[in-house]
Amino acid sequence: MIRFEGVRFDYGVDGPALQETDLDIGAGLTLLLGPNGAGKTTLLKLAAGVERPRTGRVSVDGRDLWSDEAAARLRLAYVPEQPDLTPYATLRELMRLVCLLRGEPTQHGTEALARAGLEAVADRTVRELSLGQRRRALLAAAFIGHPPTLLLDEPLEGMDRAMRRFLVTWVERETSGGATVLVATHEIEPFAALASRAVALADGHATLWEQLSSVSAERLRQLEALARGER
Amino acid sequence: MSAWSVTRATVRFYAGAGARVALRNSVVGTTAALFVLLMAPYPLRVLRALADSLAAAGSPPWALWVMTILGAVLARRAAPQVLAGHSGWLRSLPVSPAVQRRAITAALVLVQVPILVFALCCLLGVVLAPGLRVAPVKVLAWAPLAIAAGLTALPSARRAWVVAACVAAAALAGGGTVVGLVASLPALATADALAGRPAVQRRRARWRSLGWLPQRIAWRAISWRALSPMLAAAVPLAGAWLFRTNNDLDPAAAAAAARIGGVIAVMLSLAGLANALHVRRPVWGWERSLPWSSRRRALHDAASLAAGLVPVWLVVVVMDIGAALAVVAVSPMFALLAAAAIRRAGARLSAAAGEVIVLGGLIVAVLALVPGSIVLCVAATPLAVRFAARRDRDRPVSHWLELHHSAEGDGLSWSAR
Repeated sequence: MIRFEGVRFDYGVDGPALQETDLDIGAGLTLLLGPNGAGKTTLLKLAAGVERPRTGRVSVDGRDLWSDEAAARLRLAYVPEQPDLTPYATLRELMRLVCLLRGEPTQHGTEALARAGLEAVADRTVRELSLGQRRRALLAAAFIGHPPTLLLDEPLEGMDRAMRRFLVTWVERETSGGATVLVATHEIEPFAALASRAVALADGHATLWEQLSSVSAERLRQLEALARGER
Repeated sequence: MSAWSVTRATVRFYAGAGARVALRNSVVGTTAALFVLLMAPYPLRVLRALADSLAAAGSPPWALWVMTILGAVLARRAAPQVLAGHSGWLRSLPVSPAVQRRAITAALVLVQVPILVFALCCLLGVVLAPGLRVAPVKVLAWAPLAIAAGLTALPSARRAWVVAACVAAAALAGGGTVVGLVASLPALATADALAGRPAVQRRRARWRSLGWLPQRIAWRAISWRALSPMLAAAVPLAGAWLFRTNNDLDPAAAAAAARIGGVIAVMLSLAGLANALHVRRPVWGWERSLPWSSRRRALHDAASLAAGLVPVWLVVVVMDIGAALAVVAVSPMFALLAAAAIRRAGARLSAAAGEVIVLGGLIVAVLALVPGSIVLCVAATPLAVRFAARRDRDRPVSHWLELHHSAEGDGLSWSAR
């Protein structure tokens, strides 16, 4: 469960990127929808503890992200749209770091790399990898330790067809296993059938939509309207 | 069941946990004490000095303070073990908060037993040694000091007040006077009353060692770029060396020259290293989503930067060992300031180096004018940790000025796009 209580955030210029927001996002797949610049990535960064809210608090499974930093983050994995990995670390070192921090055997890092199809480049530094490989590396890090909260920012972008299929299956498996999965995406169709709810963002305002239609065509239309910023 | 039986059962329960930790502490404590004594050139003199300070009349009570601080550290470390399960079923038992609190305090005193046993051994030395007079009031002070140390580790909603009352009690009891000893008892009672119901401690994520992994990544990024800060550091070191060699100085002035040269070298070295680390391995946003605290990230960066100071330390050791100790002692604070500066570097034209030189320059000036301020510098290191951690937490990730991040060596870095 991810809880936003009175969360407000701005980048120091223009208006607030996220107006005062109260949200409770429970288990299952939640789609984060809205036009470009609506604040989807900002909301995910706040949920992942990458950005600190100006006011309010964000908690994961009851643990505050900024007063109980390590314990709260132990419950989540974040896959950003921009793979901002440090350029001089090798993939093996990055996986080792994640394993050690999540209390997993380091062997799990090697297995995660294999699952993401990166075993052959495990000893390369990040700067020697393509954008797609870097995104796969972040996915591999998310596999380690099965964190019950997954935050995925445009997970299908830049992925080949096999990887896209794998990702959708993975999200399906995790949600059916009781995980809380929050996906910010413009590609609604692959996730529409799996979604339990949606958060629509427009002009920094977030609205939770729990009542999604059970008819698939209508549900897709409903989600696409939310993505365009319509209510 | 009578109140006394409940109290006895509760104390026995917590004391069991305390005793187990005390046993573990005794192994580590005995090893450490033996190591220190055997490494000392005159072990018997060390023992005698300890015994004097702990129990002899008229001697300065520094060992009592060390004993109390060590006791507080042991109690603090033991608290999670002693309190295991305290937040769950145990709270449903019909035990008043006061009884529970005192039972926990008793267990936290018990974990200090290895220190008290060591102190008793020293006392035996005093009794057996001819010509020494034991001051009973000083020996009696051990008890309130141990209780004060135990109470500081008690989880409480008003912890700051409890610690303040304990410090007052320890100061009174450690003074070595009967009046102080008696006055320490109400101070302890106040600390106990202030503690109230023992707070529930939330289980923290277990500390997992990362080995040298973050340092390895940082130094791979810095690589040969460490040479330039080292050259900058060589200038004040060479100056100090030449000043010492070409002047007929008394030992104090010679040590001061080495110390000031060394501290300036540390500052310049860290300024260059912080800039190199900021450019080659900028603080990356994604790492903030991993299960480690901002404090730990700042400490790792400080450790990476401090590793680059080893050549400076070695040169100062060759010049003057005392000055080298002073330089090494202030290095952690400088390294933490540099780690904090990295976290604001993206928004500044002077990157990280400017802040390190301005803040470091002020500290160097104070250290040069008032040599005793080294103690203040060392004491302020925990504040520097908090400062760096706060900088890490408050650092805006998504809105930084890319102008100051070089895309050197990384074709896909943000600034390269």
